[in-house]
Amino acid sequence: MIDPIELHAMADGELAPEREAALQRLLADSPDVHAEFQAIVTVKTILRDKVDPIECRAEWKACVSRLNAIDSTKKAEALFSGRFAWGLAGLLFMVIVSAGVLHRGSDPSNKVNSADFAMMFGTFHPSHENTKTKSDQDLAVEQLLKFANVALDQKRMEVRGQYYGDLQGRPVTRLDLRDSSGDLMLVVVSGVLELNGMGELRRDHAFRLGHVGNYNCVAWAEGEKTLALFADRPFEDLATIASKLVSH
Amino acid sequence: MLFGKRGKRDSFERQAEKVFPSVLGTALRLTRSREDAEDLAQEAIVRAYDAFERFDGANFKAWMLRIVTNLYINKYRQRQRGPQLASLDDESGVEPMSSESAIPDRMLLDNAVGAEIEEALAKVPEDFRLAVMLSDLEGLSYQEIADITAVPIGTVRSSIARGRSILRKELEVYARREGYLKNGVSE
Repeated sequence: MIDPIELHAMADGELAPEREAALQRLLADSPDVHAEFQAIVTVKTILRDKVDPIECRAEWKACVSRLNAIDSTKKAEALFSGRFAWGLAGLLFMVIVSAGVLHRGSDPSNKVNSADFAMMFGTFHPSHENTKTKSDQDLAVEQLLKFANVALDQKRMEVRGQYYGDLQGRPVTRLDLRDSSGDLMLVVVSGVLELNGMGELRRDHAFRLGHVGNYNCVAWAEGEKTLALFADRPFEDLATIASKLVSH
Repeated sequence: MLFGKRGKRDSFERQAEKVFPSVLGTALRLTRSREDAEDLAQEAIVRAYDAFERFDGANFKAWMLRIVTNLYINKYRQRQRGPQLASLDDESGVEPMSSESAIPDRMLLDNAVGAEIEEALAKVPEDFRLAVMLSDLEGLSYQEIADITAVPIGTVRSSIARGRSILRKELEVYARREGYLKNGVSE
């Protein structure tokens, strides 16, 4: 009795040589077994002869495109996560640092935080005031106002004191003033400052406003100077006074 | 295996292109759908490319067919309802599948096999069909088929024998008409 599975295995060349030799002898002796074997071989032959390779050029091109896409993605990933990652991170860091340095290098001393203005009336001392005569003081105020390109209507505005100091190495003069509404201060700083933290009040004069300590402040640039009015009064009043100062 | 990235790609592409007809053909005969077969073959190529550095260099075709078969088993076969499986313990043999859904799309597969042969193949339960395809169409050894299908080699032998027996019945008329069998010679 022959196991049909062995015949299939023999047709596939999967039998051990001695077993195949034994089956070959049985094939020669038995027409039925031989027919069985031939039927198996016939099925194999039909499949081999009648099955053509599949036309698949388009599908293969699609695969190649997909592989290209994968390679591109891997390259990009390698750039950002591979050996160049530290280099890129370093480069980015350098760009940030360079940008920071360049930004600061434009003129860092021009940047003044609005809170620094508090120093203008908190830390200055009238040391020079007491050493000058009244006429000297008047002359100094006159020079300062001329220097600042502003004019005071001294009938309405009384100069009560003049103080000196510095802000980030810049000379600062402060005039304590009084009008019918009360006290206020005019500060003159050499150089045009960028006043961080102060909003724009009026575009025509580029007045900027902010709170400094307990005071409201209106600041503006006049030539190469920065002027600021401080008072405990509304911004509108300060802006009106500032407008009169600059439109003399 | 030492590959440069370009070398790896070239080596893979060179070998994959050679076996791609077998990959797509196997996928086509497993899924019975051109669209599914293209997706399956392409996914197999991508998986193989990713894993190419782990390829042992022995038989690329068998390796690729193992990937496509595993993908099919893991993804497509689970998706399909009513798997075309047959028990090897069923001594009464396997009833041929006769539903229309089991017959492949002729327009798509006529280029691969003659329509009658394709119909006959479709009637072979899937596990048997896969073993016969890998053996007779792809020329793989029993051991390679066992590796691909993850079954014992004895199961491969049985699957091939039973699959061919079903095919033989289905193709008998065709074989006589085409002169492969002489009249009067039958099972």
